[in-house]
Amino acid sequence: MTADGPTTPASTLPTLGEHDVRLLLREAAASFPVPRTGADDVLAASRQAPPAVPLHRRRWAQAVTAAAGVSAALVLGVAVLGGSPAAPPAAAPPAPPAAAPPASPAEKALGDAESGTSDRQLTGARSLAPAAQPPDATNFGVAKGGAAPVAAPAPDASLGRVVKTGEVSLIAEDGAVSRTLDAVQRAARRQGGIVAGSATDEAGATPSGTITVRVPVTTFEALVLEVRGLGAVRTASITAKDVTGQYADTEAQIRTLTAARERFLRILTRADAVGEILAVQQRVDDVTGRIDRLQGARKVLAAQSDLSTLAVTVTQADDPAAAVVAPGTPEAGLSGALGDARDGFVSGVEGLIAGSGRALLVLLCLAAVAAAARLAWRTGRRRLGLTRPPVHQRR
Amino acid sequence: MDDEELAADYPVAYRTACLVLRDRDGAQDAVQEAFLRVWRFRDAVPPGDGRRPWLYRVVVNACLSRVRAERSRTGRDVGDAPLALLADRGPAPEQAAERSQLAGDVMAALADLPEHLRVPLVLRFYAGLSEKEIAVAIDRRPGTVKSRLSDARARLALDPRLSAWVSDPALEAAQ
Repeated sequence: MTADGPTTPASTLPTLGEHDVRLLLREAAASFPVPRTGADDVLAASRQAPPAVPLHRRRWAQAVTAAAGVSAALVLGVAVLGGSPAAPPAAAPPAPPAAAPPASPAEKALGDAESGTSDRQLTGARSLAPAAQPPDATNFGVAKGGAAPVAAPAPDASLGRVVKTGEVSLIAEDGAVSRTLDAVQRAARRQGGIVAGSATDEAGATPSGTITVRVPVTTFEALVLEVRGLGAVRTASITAKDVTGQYADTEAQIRTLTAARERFLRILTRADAVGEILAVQQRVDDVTGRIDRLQGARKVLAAQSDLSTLAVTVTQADDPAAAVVAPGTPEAGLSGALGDARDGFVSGVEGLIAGSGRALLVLLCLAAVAAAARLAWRTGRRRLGLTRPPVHQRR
Repeated sequence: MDDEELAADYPVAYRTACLVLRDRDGAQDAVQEAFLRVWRFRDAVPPGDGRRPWLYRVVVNACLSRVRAERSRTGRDVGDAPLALLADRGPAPEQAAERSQLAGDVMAALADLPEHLRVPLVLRFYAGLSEKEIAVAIDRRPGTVKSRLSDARARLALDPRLSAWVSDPALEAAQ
């Protein structure tokens, strides 16, 4: 005891001696008689229990399982990121798309629905919009591609595709600018064409006007002749670009890719393992995207080659001819740059979206492997009785 | 681990489970489950001195599993129901009654101890495990085990039912 009063250090608190605790617990335990057949019951039950797996076999099984999991993850990762089919031997490997000769005109004339629409319903893949098409572009006589056969026949050289454009500058009589422009419009309609755009400046002393018409390629020359007769020709220029090969190539690629997609879809129906299904589905999605882009490009070529474009400028005498920029021709200067920028942005977004699918797939596979490994580890620990008491029981 | 070792360990393990769970039937089930698990995975049992802590680790986990299951099912602990203590055949009736009364007091005092103190206390002072072995059995450090044992004894000393057994070092020092 000190001057401040009694103090009780921790070591002098009332407690139960170890000997006493031992005695008390023995007394309490003795009140529970041991079942006479307790040990025998346990031994009997152990004999009925399934045989224990030897430790070395368990370790071997664990090692084999872990190695199989890692190998599967590696194979899947290579298949997804490498972009080449690396399916396990049990499944039929998907064949890479092979080059096939372009389709025949008969196949082009097939009246099936747009292959893109029906196939989108199958795979759910959507493609971004193709390149911008000319105004009022209609598919004059453009055959709609259907489901492609496995083998594509040789092209028909008699069906060429030519993109024709022309610019004609006319000098009309005084006060006849509007009449001349109307005459050009009527001529275009007689040739089975349409008016793509027109503009007039009729105020002032020197009225002028421009009109752009589009007519079927077969009647383009006839239209040009007729327009040249409507006034004095100041300037005239006609250009023709043969896109037959380009169109045929596009057609051939579409058929080849469509055939490849059919093969992938057949393989998909036979795939069992999740890894195989994902790999084949990725290939299907890639091919579908390429088909959609090619079909868009084909549409543009078809529209440009089926309808030729003629821009006519009409002025009065002593009025410098205005430069006519026919729609459909490549835009120059700032407009062209803006168009290129827009296309580049769209392409960049396409690339990002396409790449994000693969990245997400790899992440999902890694997460699945990690979750399976964690579950197996915890199950193994629980079976061995090595689990820890819950947090609220620990102090 | 062979049949003889299992049979030799059974009585102490059973009574240890009884002291932890304070329930005979639950203890019997838990010990049987634990011993079956030990038997099936006996290849993983460490040889020699490592056997006992490993065995009691499985027994303790089996007991705690029952406690958690019972608590989640009924909202109360296993062993809260009144104990039906059987009289020992050996001593005289009055000694048996006294022992039953003492055993009842001890069990009641154990019931007031939280599990994380009760388990190391029983393993140390009934099953006879060392602090190191208890650390292996409950997956804690030896220092933690020592601290818990001290806490458990101090709490039991505060129980009025065991006041006759309490030693007061301050009082003894004054005397």
